[in-house]
Amino acid sequence: MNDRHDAARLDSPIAGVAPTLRIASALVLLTSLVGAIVGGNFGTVAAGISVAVIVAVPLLRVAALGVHWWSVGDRRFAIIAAALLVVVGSGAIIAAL
Amino acid sequence: MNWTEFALAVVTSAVGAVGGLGGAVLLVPFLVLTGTTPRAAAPLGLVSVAAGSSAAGARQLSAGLVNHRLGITTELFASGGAVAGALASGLASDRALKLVLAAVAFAAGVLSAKRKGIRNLPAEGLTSGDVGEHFGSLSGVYQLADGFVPYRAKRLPSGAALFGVAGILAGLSGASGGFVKTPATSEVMHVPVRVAAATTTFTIGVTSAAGLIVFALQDRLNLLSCATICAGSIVGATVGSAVQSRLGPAHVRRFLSAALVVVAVVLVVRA
Repeated sequence: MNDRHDAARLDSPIAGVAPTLRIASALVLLTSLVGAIVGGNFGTVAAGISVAVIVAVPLLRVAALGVHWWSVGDRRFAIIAAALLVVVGSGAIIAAL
Repeated sequence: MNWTEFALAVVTSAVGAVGGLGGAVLLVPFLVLTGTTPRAAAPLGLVSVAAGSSAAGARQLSAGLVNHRLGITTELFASGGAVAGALASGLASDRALKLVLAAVAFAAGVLSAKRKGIRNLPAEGLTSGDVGEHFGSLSGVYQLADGFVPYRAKRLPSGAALFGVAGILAGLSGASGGFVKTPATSEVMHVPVRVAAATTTFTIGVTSAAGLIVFALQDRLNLLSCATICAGSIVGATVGSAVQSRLGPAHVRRFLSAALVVVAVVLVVRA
């Protein structure tokens, strides 16, 4: 296993993903707290923002990984990432029909 | 604010983040026990999982614990299974489904508890600069105390098949399937349990996002309840991921095992 490891090439993580996740979590915490505490129309809008962010973040992360892998030449995993988004999208469409 | 919902979200998300299970498998039954209808509880469970996944993600990413290639490859099979499961929903009774889920959770918990020692050991010559995932493969290195542990996912076909089953179960039941994914990654594919838990935390966020889109299109989201669960889950997952980063693999495995047995008991009681 060590021999295989020695031959392996480390892929640098995408810069900025961890800070983006922290900012997204802080935004979700803030808007969800406003939604839960304030209530009413303003609270509902804030709650809607929090749900939209937690839905968008993982899908955007997959898309960003796919683009990153394609750009560094790891095409096989880039295609798998694209296929995953297609499957997720198809599932949502089929289930919503 | 509904403080009962908030407290349940904090506790179940903390447990879910430590074990890489997602909190929904615990949260949804408890919400139902406290008076929420199953139809309303299911989307709240997915909100909890998605929020917890997002909150735990930054810490686990910074620690080099998430293997994205492994997560996306296995999630492809899980998502395919989830679509099949969603299409097949209605063919299996709720009771039969809960009993199957309980059996899977119990078996995974027992198998995880039976294994002793650490399978993946630190290797000589590795440094913090080697931590991360490898180009073009399902392998990587993670830091364990003062050592650095190389790993490589094994038995991908078997693991993928289990992820497909997890996806089918998720599609049928509305759960995230994390309690199948983490043991499958750790015990079948021989990926270190902390990497398995962190990678599952990432993938269940994807699954939950897809499910939430469906629930939103079906107008099944109570946004104010979602906000309460969301806030509690972020607090719980932040605490849980901090605890997980301080635990050794044996402790995480024991915790995971205990949580799986609790899940199995809850499912049997509900069935």
